[in-house]
Amino acid sequence: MNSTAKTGTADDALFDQLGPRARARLRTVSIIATVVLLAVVTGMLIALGASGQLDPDRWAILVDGDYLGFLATGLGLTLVVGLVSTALSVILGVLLALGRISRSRWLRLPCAGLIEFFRAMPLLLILFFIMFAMPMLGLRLPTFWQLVLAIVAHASAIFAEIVRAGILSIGSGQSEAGKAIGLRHREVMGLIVLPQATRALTPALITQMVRTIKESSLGYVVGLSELLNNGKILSEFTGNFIQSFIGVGLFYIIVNIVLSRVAERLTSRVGKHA
Amino acid sequence: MFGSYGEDLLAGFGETVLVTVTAFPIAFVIGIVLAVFRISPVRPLRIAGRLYVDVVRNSPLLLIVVLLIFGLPDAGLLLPLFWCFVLGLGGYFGAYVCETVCSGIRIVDRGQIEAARAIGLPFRRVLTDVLLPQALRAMVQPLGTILINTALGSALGAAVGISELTLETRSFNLDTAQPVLAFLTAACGYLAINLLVSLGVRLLERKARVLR
Amino acid sequence: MSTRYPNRRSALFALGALPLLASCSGSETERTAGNPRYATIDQSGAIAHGPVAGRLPRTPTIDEIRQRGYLRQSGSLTNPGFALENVKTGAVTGFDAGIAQLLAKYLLGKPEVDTVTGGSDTREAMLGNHSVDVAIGTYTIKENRARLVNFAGPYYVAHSGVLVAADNRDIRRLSDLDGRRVAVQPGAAEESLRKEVPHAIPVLFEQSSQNASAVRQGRVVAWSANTALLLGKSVIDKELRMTDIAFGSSPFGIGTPKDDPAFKSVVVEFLHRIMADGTWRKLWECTVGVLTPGPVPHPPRVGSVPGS
Repeated sequence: MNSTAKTGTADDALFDQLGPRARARLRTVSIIATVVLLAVVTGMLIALGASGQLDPDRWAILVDGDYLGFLATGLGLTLVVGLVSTALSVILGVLLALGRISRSRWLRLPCAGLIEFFRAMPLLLILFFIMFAMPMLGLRLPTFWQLVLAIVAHASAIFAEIVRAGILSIGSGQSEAGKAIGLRHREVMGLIVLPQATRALTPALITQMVRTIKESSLGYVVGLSELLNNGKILSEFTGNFIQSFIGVGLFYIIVNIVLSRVAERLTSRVGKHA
Repeated sequence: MFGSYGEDLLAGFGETVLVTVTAFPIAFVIGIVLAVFRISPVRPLRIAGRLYVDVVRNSPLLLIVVLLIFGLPDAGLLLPLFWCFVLGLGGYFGAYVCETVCSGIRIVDRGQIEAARAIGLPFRRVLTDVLLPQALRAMVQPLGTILINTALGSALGAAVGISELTLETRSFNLDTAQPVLAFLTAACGYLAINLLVSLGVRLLERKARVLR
Repeated sequence: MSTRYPNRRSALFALGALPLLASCSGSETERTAGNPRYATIDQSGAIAHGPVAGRLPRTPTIDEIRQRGYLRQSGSLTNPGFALENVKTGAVTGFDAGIAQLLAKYLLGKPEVDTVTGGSDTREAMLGNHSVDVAIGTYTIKENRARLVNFAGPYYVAHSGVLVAADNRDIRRLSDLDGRRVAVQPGAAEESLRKEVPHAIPVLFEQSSQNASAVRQGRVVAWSANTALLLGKSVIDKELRMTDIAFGSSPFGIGTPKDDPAFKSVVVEFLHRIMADGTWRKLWECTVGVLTPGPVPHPPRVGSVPGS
């Protein structure tokens, strides 16, 4: 606790600096907590062992070069889906947000409607619409674009709201100042508001990437050979279900944590320059 | 217009609501427990809380759900499909509740807490009179968003055989070949949930303001 | 990468299948982590044996396949014995996959197939707007379906079987399934169960290993699927047992686009060829035959089922 005492969060203010007795008590509580946590984990491990899930042969699939390569290929496609969806949803999201705060009602209302509608729809429902309803209406896309389109429809609506919040946070004082020196609405937006909003949005971009990477796992449903879908095939081929999916999970977690760390670093850098 | 499918769709909507209202309290409890872990002075608990949130927030929901359904029985816990799914949703969104609670607590000005303690308020009253009213107010909106996301996440039930709204919509569409009708109906269902939650959030926020 | 196959101790396991393998593939089989049997399925020998059509009529579908350079089909990649992607080699192995590869070879001279795995209920729509050329893979020929799709076949008639946990003695007759939860995969097995055992409670899981897990873990009392698939599973997994129960018959056909009847005739001619020249039998030996004991069945008569 001492090391974080100066960061000034509320939880630190709740407690005094601990005296020797409290510290001893804390040590006891820590030990008990550790034991309880370990007991829960051990219990699960024993049960898993009893059903043969801890057999080293089963886990060997996660150190097998071919299998890891197969998952890595899936990860590659996951990243492509993530990148493409992020790029498209960011562009579309910014346009929708600008539309929603536009002064023209004919732009404002449809944009607001689109944002609110797609924010309220589950991704899988959108995906099913694209998979099952659109072919009936005479339009069918390749699997990759089916998935990307579904993710973009949902994610751009979410990003639009983030952008709008970012723009609104700039404050009306600045845009009014811009107008006072004779700038047009477009110039105020382009010269004053958007550059600042963009800087503030850089970390949101990474969050968006993490979001789309997680959502790309619905390739499992459309049969696109991304990471989770390849995990499914691996589990079927090896018969080691838990092991395959835990391996897949590790891939997601590592990639996303790396991305989040980048976001944190960017946030602190943005903070310094702003 | 709907034939006998109207009933199926309605039942699907009911299931979506049921999943949501069961999973959200679970998420809430898990989130609170995790938040307590994360702000507690007990280091192993802090680490466990951090690990949980990091793992869950960076994994796709579908992966967690599938792993729970087929992995949990091997870990000694055989639950009905419904409960596996609800637990998966609850466990997933619990991590987000934890984040919300933690940042809600952080929002309260440190000086206020120190002031409250300086005038001799006991720990419990610092919590109930100063910290929680403000923290809760800040949490209402994000918790509402998590509730909506739980409802949206419940659609993944369609990928694991839970007959909720999205799955019923899919079969309705495939059986009757009326895509527009099928998906518009489902959209209305989800919009209704969204609207209801938004209204509730607004009401609660107004109440919380009075409390202050 | 020298430690790629860390475990060779059960090379013995594959030994029984060795005489067969010699004719199925040229390559040496190695023990891999996971299900050793699935890794031994390799129908390339049977595909090499497959015929190539002499002159083909021009139909819209055939023109499209030729232009593209490979066959695009709707099927599965996770159905052991019938269509399973071999993660080690990237080849799709199994009986259904082999039929698709043979058809590609027949039409193009090379067995190149792209498989779309959108699920069993997307097949009619995908054939309808030509996003796939054919649908192969536990696709039951049915009269109401034949209004939307032209079926060539049957190329195999499957019977539904019932698989239970090894220690389960309760399920002896079909009627024992009444009111019980039975796992099925969507598609042929589900249809057959709903028709023949209307009082059973179907629980749908997409993957065959998920169905097997559900039985092992006691989530369901039984798993119903085509007998060859179940037999293959019961040989590999000692915790599962095949019952004697058999019911229904699902004639598997090759779905082709409704608006191209000339293409269907070509596919029918293809089936006649591979059944007559022994390719069909060879393919069975290399795929389902590796997983299941017993004699190779006789191919069904093409066109013998209503809807085909």
